[in-house]
Amino acid sequence: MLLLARRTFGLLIFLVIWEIVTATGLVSPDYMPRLALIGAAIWAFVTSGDFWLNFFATVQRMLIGLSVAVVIAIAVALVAARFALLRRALEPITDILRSLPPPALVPLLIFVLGITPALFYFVIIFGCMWATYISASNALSTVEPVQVNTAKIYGLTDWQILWQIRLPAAMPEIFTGIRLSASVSLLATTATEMLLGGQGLGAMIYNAGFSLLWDQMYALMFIIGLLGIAMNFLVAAVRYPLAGWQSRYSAMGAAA
Amino acid sequence: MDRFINGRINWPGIIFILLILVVWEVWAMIADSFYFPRASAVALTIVEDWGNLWAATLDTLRRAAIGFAIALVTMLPLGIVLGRVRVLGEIVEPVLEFFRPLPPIAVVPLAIMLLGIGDAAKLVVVVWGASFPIVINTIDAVKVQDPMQARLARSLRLTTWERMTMIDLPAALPRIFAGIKLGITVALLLTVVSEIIVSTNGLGDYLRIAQSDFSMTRVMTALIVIAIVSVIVNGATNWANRRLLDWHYRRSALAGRQ
Repeated sequence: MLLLARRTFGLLIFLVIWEIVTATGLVSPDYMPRLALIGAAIWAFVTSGDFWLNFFATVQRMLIGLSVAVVIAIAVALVAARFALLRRALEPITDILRSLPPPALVPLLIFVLGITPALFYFVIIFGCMWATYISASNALSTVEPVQVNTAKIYGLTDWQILWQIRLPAAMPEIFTGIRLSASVSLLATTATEMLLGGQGLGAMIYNAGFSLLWDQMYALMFIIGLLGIAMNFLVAAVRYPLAGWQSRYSAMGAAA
Repeated sequence: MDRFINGRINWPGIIFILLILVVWEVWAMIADSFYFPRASAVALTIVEDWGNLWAATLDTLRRAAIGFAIALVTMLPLGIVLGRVRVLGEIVEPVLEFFRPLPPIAVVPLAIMLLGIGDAAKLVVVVWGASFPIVINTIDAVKVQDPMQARLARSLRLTTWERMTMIDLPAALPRIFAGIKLGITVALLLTVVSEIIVSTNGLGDYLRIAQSDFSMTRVMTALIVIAIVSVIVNGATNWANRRLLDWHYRRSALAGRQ
């Protein structure tokens, strides 16, 4: 409870500083609107149907892109964990591909795919795949040898070991990767929307910014920030049943 | 076979990349499409357009380096203070946590409106993006303390200064470096992206111009050069990291063998 009070205290101080800076005119109100104005802009968005259309366009792209990317990444990582040759063969090419900023693919793909949903999904999936793949393939290949040996003694096949021992043991680290992927998916989605226009929060913030609608722009930044926080909670919620044992396990060690 | 797979030089990886290049070349030759330039054409462009590409690369690297340096110089001390002074950390951290999920791209319109399309606007975006991994990792790094080490310091009657330089700093370094590594990657990535959106020069701008010229070969070339540059930068960071934290990796390798 005290912790919660302290946490909100920090945000409150931030808001108070913002209000002081804008109220005293230290920074021109054109650039930093009063909180009330931003709040009004948020309220105007929330009560308009048009905003929700854009909002859900972004959320849909983000969630579908992220889920597909995570499934592909874990599937490839599983196969790569089974066949060391494949894992080593993929190492340099993943290093190269993951260092490409996802929005940089837009100019290339726009010729091939046109401005279609396929373009959005390709960029988003391409962008968020790597973080999950790298942490998954790392985690799967560095499982406690004792566990793997025990499984071997019990006569489990390689695939069974992979599925029943390695994958659960790797889950916590895989989720670290998924969390990173989730933030990349938000970034890739908004950036692609900015470049391509059309629907979505990225296109909205771009238009608001260049139309000098400051209050709307800050409101959209606030909403995108909230969306990012919501994504973190979502990943944590999915993580709990799949990898929650790890936090319970380490809590046990601390209590002992 | 095992030597071939797990050797020091990653032969399977190299062969795989060569294979991709060959398939790309042959496929493009068969397809003979405007949208699908051949690998050799891209290689030729890199050689022919070397002057422009090199200048663009330097612009991009300069911007990324300045942005990263600003983030490092401001965020490292801030992270240490926030991690060390409990009360301050507890108040400021939620604010950081609130801003962190905001994609740095969302700052682009704001930065342009405030600062125009010059270097300053792009730098703000780069600094913004590179700051979070550095400050958050630094906070975590200096906050967590091994109780055994703290007791050892007391037993040896180390002064505060000795304790800070001899125990706390080395203990915090691996985590701080993890943040710095992430910061460098993010800085380079955001530089290119911000150059695509607001372009004056640099690799991102090269890419955008190639796109508006409908020159697929040059679009592809720009992508390849961006990839090569980031691989080199990331490789150099990893190398420096390993050199500086040699003792740390040796110890964890030892622990892994037990």
